[in-house]
Amino acid sequence: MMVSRLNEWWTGLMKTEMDFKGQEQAEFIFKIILISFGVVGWLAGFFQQDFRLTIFVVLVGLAVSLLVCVPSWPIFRRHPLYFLSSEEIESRH
Amino acid sequence: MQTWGNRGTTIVSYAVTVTAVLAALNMLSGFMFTVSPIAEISNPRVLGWRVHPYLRADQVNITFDFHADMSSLFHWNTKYVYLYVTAEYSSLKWNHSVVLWDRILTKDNATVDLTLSPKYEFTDLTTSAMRGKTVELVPSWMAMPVCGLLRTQSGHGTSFVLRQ
Repeated sequence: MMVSRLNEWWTGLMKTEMDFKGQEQAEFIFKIILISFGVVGWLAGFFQQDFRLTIFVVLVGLAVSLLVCVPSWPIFRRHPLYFLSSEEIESRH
Repeated sequence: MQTWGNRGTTIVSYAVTVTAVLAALNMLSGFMFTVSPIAEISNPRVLGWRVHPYLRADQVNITFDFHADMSSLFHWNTKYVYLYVTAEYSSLKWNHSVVLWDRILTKDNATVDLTLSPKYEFTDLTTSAMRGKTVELVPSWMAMPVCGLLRTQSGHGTSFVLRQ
């Protein structure tokens, strides 16, 4: 029972797609995350005089943005597309 | 942006672009630092020389004192500094430049203060090019950047004369 709940959770996250509004939001969110981690990382590296610190901060930002934007979280599925059901298709003929 | 793989690829490539922009800004910020590296060679002494029996060329054994302080070169756009000492002299056909000693300096290891004998053998091409000429020992260094052009500079050297 636990396994089937995990399975359905995994299917929801990785096998279901986001809707279009959600995709737009996800794109905006990852750009903001990467740019802000980039700015913070560059300033940190400049004051420590070490570019490896900058690279490290950008990698952390990459991990955060992958976590937030790659799986299709339910937040990104709030505006689902409306598909006609089979009765409605039949009634249109 | 439909599938998770598509989103993952886009995010990773955007992160690489961000890193490239940061590296370019790094290079631009590197120009505002003033560097003052010191490299001096003094007291060159010829310990002995011979003619290499197989190569039929002169080989000289020398020693010199070397003092270098490259720590001001290490701002954040410098990865390593390659420091080397060459012996330069000119003969009729060529200008010779023989690398005698080199070392790669890192940020923690940025000074050299030694009495050196060469790491590599100081061998001439023939038996005639070096005798009686003034040989100049010149220290040079290459600052290897994180992003940007490789910069080579030379310092002051001394010279000695190889007597016949």
